[in-house]
Amino acid sequence: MTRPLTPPTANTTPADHPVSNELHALYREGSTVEPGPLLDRRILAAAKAELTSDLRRSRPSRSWWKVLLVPVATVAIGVLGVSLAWRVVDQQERELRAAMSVVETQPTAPEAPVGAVTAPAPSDATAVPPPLPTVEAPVTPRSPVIEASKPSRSEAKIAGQPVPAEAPKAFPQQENQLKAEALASEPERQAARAPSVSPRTDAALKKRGADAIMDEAPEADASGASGLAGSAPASVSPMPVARPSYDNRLAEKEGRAKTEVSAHVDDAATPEDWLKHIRQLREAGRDADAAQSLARFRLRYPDHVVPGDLIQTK
Amino acid sequence: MDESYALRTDETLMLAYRDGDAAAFEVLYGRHRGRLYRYLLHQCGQREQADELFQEIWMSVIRARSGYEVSAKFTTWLFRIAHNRLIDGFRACGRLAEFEVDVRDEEGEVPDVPAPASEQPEHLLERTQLAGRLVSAVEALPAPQREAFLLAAEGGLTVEEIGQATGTGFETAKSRLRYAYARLRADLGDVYETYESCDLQYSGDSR
Repeated sequence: MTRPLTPPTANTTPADHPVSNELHALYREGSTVEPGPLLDRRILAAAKAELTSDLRRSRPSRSWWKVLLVPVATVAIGVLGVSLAWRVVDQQERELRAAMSVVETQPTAPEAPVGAVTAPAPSDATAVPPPLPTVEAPVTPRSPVIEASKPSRSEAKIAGQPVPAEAPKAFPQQENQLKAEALASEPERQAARAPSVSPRTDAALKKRGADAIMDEAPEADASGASGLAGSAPASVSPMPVARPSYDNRLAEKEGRAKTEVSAHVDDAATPEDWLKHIRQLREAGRDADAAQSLARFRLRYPDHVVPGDLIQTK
Repeated sequence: MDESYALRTDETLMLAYRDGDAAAFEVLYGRHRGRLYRYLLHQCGQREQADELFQEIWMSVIRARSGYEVSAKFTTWLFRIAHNRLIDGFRACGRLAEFEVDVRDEEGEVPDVPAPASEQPEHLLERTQLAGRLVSAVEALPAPQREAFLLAAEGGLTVEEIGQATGTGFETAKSRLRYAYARLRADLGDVYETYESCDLQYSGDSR
């Protein structure tokens, strides 16, 4: 009662065979067992956990570069742009300040003495000659470094003073050239401005030029902000007063900037002398003055090395 | 759950899971959980061992997610994993000999076993009882033939796929399957013929 049974071909499933189909059907009827629910939950939870942990693993490696690259680059570009803009604005401001200081120095400072001469008092208006026409030599633009610098070596030579050691200058050649021009054109300008200046006045002018560093700046200080205008009647001379030289004007300008200077030695001293003076102030117990002087020194000679014993006064 | 998942193939679902779709895995698991479990249970014969193997196999599927590519039918891939785990399990508990191939069984004639007298049609039981007897007969099959039958009956694999899943090749798979059917039919005896409505006139290998 048995007959040969042939399994299906490779291209068909065994279930397609009628015999195997019936056997499979019977088998499935008899075998219905399934995994327990606990096992199902465990496997499904593991499948989800795998996805979660995979996301956690992949997230940092993906975001580290891609997420931070753009913000960091943006911030870097922003910082660069701001710093560049700041530098440009700062430079422009400096140039503007320099230009303004040149303008202030050239036209107003020379005019002030003339104004002082021409209008000392309303009652004497008739006695005073009319304002003299001023003939200005063409003003060469000067850098703020030069304007703010201390009295030049040539001036010091004229004054017969020992040549002070100067702080390093940004444009020494330019400065020297400008000062040479200024000295050369000074007599011409004086002649053009004050044709009625007497030889006596001229001599006094030269003397003033020579003593400009030590004398005129303190005078300017004493006269305050309007000192150049010569508001005090005592400063009015019946004779037209010779205008100060270019170097004198420099000295005046510096003098105005140092209205708070308590010790005049600061202005005239070389850095070494100035430091010596600060040391003397300290030794004398005037620590506050010493600290003040040192602060000014640092402003004036920012690149000069201050001895350690003086730094304590800061 | 989205009904579109039900229309997707196993491979598409596995690819979706690889790409992070947890719901796709749930559908896939639901499709194959019973089949795989029964395959394991009938092969092991012990529920605890089947549970352990079942969990290990699915964990292997989960871990292989990121590198999954469609190189074969999902069921072939799944049951190949199951086969390998099963062999490891058998080796671990010293039952590997059960998988040793009996050359006579593989290459010889299909046994023509007469049905015992107690299983003649007059003793025919209900169909459910017949099914139970079939399951018992399946479990009594030698491990290689049993595996071939279970892969066909539970996994729905073709002979070619059975060969791939077990790593034996087409001819061996076919031989094992032939042997399994003949043995089962012999075990069931004439009872089987009673319930067989179709014509069993199959002669020779059509291949």
